[in-house]
Amino acid sequence: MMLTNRQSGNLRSSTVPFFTTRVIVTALAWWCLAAVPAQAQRLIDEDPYDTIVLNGQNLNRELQVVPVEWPRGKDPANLRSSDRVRIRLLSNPDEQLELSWGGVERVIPFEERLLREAKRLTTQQKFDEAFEYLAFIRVNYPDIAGLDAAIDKLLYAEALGFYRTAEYERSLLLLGELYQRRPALGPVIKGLQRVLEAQFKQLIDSGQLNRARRLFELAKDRYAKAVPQILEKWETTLQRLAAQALETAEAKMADGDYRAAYLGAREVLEIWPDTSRVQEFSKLAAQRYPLVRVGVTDGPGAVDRRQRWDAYGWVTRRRSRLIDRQLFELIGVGPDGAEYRCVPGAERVADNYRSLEIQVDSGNELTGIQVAQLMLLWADGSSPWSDPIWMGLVGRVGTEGLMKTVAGLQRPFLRPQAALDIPCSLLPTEGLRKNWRVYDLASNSDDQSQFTINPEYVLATATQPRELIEQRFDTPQQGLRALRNGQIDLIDRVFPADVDQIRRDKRFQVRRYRIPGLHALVPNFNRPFTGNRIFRRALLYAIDREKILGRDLLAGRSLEGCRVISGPFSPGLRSDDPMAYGNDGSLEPRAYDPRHARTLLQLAQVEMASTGNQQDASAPELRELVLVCPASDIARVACDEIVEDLALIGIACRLRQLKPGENRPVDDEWDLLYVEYNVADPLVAAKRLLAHDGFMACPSPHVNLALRQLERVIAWSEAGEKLRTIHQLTYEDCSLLPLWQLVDHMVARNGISGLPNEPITTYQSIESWRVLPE
Amino acid sequence: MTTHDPVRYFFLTRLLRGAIGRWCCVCLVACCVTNESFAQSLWEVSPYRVHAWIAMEPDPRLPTSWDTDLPGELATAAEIRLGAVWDFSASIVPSKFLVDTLNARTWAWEELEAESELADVDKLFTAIVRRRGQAYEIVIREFDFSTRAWSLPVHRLAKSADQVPNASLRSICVAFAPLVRIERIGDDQLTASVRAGALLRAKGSPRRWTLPIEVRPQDVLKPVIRRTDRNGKVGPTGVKPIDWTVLTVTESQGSRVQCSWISGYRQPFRTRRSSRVEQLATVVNPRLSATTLKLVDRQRPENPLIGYEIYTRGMSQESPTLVGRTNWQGEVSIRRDQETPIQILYVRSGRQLLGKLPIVPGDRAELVAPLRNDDVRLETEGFLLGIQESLVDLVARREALAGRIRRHIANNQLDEAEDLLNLLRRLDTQADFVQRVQQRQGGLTSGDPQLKTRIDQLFAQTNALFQQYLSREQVDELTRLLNAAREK
Repeated sequence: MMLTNRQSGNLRSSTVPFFTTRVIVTALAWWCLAAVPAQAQRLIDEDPYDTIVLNGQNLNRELQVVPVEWPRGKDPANLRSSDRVRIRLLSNPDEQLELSWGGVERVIPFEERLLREAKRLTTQQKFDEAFEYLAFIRVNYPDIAGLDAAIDKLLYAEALGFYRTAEYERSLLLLGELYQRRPALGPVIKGLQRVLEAQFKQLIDSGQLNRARRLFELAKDRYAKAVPQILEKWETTLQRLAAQALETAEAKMADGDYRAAYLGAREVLEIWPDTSRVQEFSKLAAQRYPLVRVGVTDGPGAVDRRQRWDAYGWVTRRRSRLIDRQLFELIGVGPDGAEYRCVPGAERVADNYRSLEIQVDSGNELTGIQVAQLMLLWADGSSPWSDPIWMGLVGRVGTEGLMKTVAGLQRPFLRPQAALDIPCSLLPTEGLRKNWRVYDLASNSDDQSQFTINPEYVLATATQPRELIEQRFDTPQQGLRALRNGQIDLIDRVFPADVDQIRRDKRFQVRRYRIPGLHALVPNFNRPFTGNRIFRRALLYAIDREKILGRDLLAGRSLEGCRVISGPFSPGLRSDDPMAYGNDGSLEPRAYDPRHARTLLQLAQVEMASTGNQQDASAPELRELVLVCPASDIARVACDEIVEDLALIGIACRLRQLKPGENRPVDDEWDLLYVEYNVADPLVAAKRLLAHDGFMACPSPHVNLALRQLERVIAWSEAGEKLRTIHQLTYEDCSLLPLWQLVDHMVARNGISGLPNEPITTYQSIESWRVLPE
Repeated sequence: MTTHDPVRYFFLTRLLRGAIGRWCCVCLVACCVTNESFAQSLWEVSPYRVHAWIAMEPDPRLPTSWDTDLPGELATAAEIRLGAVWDFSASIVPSKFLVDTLNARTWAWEELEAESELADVDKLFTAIVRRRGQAYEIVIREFDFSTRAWSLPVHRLAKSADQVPNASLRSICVAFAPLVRIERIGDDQLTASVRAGALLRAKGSPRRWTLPIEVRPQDVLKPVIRRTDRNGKVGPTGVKPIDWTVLTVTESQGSRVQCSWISGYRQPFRTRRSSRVEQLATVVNPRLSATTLKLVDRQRPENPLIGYEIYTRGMSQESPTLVGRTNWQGEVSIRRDQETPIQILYVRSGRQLLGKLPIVPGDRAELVAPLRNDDVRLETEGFLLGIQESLVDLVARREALAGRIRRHIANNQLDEAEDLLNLLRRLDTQADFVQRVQQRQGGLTSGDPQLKTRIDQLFAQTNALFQQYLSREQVDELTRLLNAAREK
C-alpha cells in the first residue's frame, strides 16, 4: 500500500484569507439566489478523502474517510493487524473512530483516484480536463508514480489529435514540449518530422512565406539534431523563393509602382535576408515609398474629430492626431506640468493670465482672422462643437494685423492653452480643412484601415510615411507575433503583461506614453441603483481591483506607475511627477471587502425603499446591471473580472460591447460604462470629465460647485487645493468608480526612427518618422 | 382730468367727445340689466379707450393716400366689428416717435403719458406697416397704461393693400390683453371683475361674437398693484407687477370671474382694501417658444448664479421634473408647453429649496430672479455629506463586527472575539470625526445671517449624528460581555 505526503492541507491554508471570504460570499450569494440548479461535482473539486476497503469479514464495505494520519508516522503497508488506526468518516468528520487494521483489505489514496481519472479522460480524448487533473496532481502530489508517463501520453495523444485536424502549429507546440521532456523518444522525432513538413508545405502553398521562414528558424533553433535533412531542403526552397520575390519587386520598381516594390523588398527580407542585392534595393524602395504598418487591437472604427468625447477612448485618441491637427497640442510634461504648442504659430499668455496672443506663422495657409474664427466657433453656445470652458472664459476675440490673434479673457485663467485644443477640422472652408488634414482615410474595414498622406498638408515632411496601414488583431498575442514575424512595424499599445517580454527583444524599441491611462467605471446617474451613492460605494468595495490589475492585466509583474487609484486624477508616474498635483495622495483606494459591499448593498436597498415610500412609489427592484465595455483588450479582460466579482455579492451583470471608435452608448440603456481616459491637465480635464455637461454628466451639485470654483482660481497652489477637494468629493460620492492607472507602451521595430522618448499619442511626431529597412 | 375717478372721467370724456350715441348705448345696457347687474361698477360698463398709432415705412410702394385714409378705415372697421366695447381712435404716429416705432423700440410710460393725444387712453397700439415682397407686413404692439407694460409684437401679412385695415385690426385684437380688477381675495381663489365685461352680449344672444375683451375659463393672468398718491396720481413707482404670481380663470359669470392663484410669495396680494390701491391683472398671451430664466445674486445682481437646479411642475403634475441647471450666465431656457401654460419652477441648490417661481413660459423673452447666493452653504453641505457617508461606512462596519463578536462569545470562542473587539476599538471614533469637522468648520461661514444660521444647523445636525451613532456604549457593552464570558 502506498502513502504519499499530503500537501493539500498546506495548499488550502496558503489561500485561506482570499478563499474563505470568497467561499462565504459565494455561499451567501447562492443562498440569496437559490435558483441555480445543482451540478455534478468533479473529483478534482471534491474535498480530498481516502477510501478504506474493509475485508470480507466486514462485507467489503468501502469507507470514505478524511485523509488518515497514520499512527507514529508509519507507512500503512507496514502496519500490523493488531494496530489500531484513528479515522474520521467524511460523512461525520467531527467524530473520531478507531479502526482495527486487521479488518482492512486495502486503502485507495485520493491522488491515486485522481491519476486514474486523468488517464481515463486522456483515453476519451477529453484533453483539457485531463490536463487540469494532471496539473493539479503535479502541483499537489508530485511524487506519485506514473505521473510523468501519464503526462507524456497526454501530450502525444493531443498532438496527434491536432495533426489529424491540420492544426499543425498547436501540434508542434505539444510535440516540442514532449521533445524537451524525452528527446530520444522515437515516436516523438517521427511525429516532429511529419508535423514540420506538413506545416511548411501548408505555409508555402498558401503564400505565407514569411511565416515559413519563421518556421525554418524555429526548427533550426530547436530541432536541428532531430530533423537535419528537412532543414537543408527548406533552406534551398526559401532562397529560391526569395530570389523570385526580389525579381518581381525590381520589376515593380522599374514600372514605377513604388508601393509594391517596397512591400516586395520587405517580403524578401522576411523570407531570406541574405539574398544578394536586397539590402540596397530595400533602402531605395523605403526612400521612394515609406510605408508603416501598425498593429492595433482595438480599432479601426470611424473617428469623427468633431465629436466632443474623443479623449475618452484609446482609438479616438490615437487616430485624432492622424486625421488633423489642433490649435494647441499637448507635447509633453515639464517641471510645471503639461506643455502645449501652438501648432500654426507661437503664443504668448499675459502675465496676469487675462489674455492670449497668437502670432500665426506665415506660409501655412492660415491667418489670424481664421484663428479668431476658430476661437469664436469654440465659444459659440449654439454650435455643437463649442467648449463650455472656453465659452465661459473668453471675453473678446480680435486680430491685430493679418497674422495676429488676440483673445481677452473674462477672468484670469492659469492655462488657457489647455482649453484651446480646437480641431482644425472646424476651420471654415474645405480648402483650409484640407490643408490641416495629415492623412486621408483611403479605405476602412473591420480589420484594416489605410491612410495615405494628404499632399496638401502644410506641415508635411519629405521623410514621413507616405502610407499608414492600421491592422487589427483579435488578441495582443497575435499582434506581437505579427511584429516578430515582420508583418507589422509597430504596435500602438502593448498589453501591459507583455511589456517586460517585448523589452527583452533587442530588435524592437519600446516607448512609454507620458500620460498614464486612467481606467474607471462611469455610473449612469439616471438609473435608480447606479444613481444611488451607497450602491455605488458597494460596487467599489465588491471589485477586487488589486487582483484584476496585478493578476489579469500585469500577469503578476510590476510596471512603474501602474496602480489602483482612488479618484479621477492621475497619481503620476512617480511621487514627484508634476502631473499628480490634482491627486489627493492621502485618500487610499477603498480596499476589496465583499462582506462590507453586501452590507452596503442592503443599506442602499433600504434607502431606496424609504425614498420610494416617501414619494408613494414602489422601491426599484435590483435587476441585471448592464456594463458597457469598449472595444479594447484591456477593457474586455477587466470587465469580465468585474462581472465575476459583482456576481459574488449577488449582483448580476451583463456585458454590452461597444463598436470600435465608440466611447459611450448613444442610448440610456446601461448602468456602468468602462472608460479609459487621460488627464493631461486636470485644470481643464476635471470639468470636461465630471461636470453635469461633461462626459460623465455628474449631477452632484457639490462636485459641480467645486468645478466652478476651480475655474476661478488664479494661483497654482489654489488650483491644487481645489482639485484635491474635487478628488475628496468624488471619493465620498463615488461619482466615478476609479479602477486603476495603467502606463501604456508602444513598440516599434528599430527601423522606425523619429519616435519621441515619451510620446503623448502614437502619431504625435509622425512628421519626423523615418522608415528604414533592417 | 385724472384716471383715478372713473365717474368724473366717464362723464367728461363722453361730453367732450360728443359721443352721445355711444353714451345712449351704454345707458341702454345699464337700463336693461337685471337687479344683479345694478351692482356692476362703472369699471364693468366702461368701454376700453383704445388708440392706434400707425407707422408706415418710407417706401414708395406704400400708397400715399394711407397717411390720411388708413386711420379712418381702421376706426371704421373697429366700429363695425367691435361695437361698444372699445372707444377706438387711430392716427399716424407723431413724427418724433416714428423712427423708434419703425425700429421696434419702445418708450417709457412717462413719454407716452405726456402726449396729449393719449391723455385718456387705456391702451395704445403701435402698428407698423411695411412691404414684404408683394405682401404687406403689419407689426402690432400694445402698451397698457394701467399696468404700464408693453406686449410682445404680433406679426401678420396682408396679401393686398385693401386687406391692410382688417388685418391690422385683427392683429390689434390678438395683441389686446383684457384687464380685470381684483375684488375679493380668498385663500387660493379670488374674484375679479372684467373691464367692460357688462358690455358683452349674453352667451345665448344670436348677435354674440367673440370679442378681444372677453376673459374665458383657463385664461392666465398676471397681476399688478397700482397705487395712487393723495392727489390721485399714480407716481413713477406706483405700478408694480406682483412678481412670480399667476392667476388662472376657473369660472366666468357675466362680467365676474373666479380665479385660482399661485405665487412664489406667501401673501402676494393686499387683503386690506384701500381706495388708493387697485389690484389689476391682464390676460397673458404667450407667443414665444421659450422664456429664459436668469438667476442672479440678490446682493450682487451682476453675478449670475451658476449651476443651480431648476425643476418644473405643471399645475396638475404631482412631482417636479428636472429642467436643467443654470449655465455660466445663470440662465436656463424654459420651453412653452401648450398643455400646461403655467409652469411652477423650483430652484434648488443641493438639498436646499431656494425658491418657487410660477411663470408662463413664452410670455417674456427673459425673466430675472434675484436669489440668495447659496454657494457657501452648498459647499458645507457637500463636505458634511461626505462625512456622513464615511459615518455610514463606519457604522455598518461596527455593526457587522459587533454581530461577529457576539457570535464568537456565544460559541465560547473568546480569543477570536477579543481579536475582533480590538479591531473594533481601532476603528475611527466620535472624536476623530468631530476633529475632521472642526478643522473645516472655520473656513465655511457666511456674512449673511440667514445663510450662517443654515450652515450652523447643518453642522449641528451632523454632530447630533455622531452622538447618536458613535457612542462608546457599544464597545463598553461588548467588553463587559466578553469579560463576563471569561469569568464563567
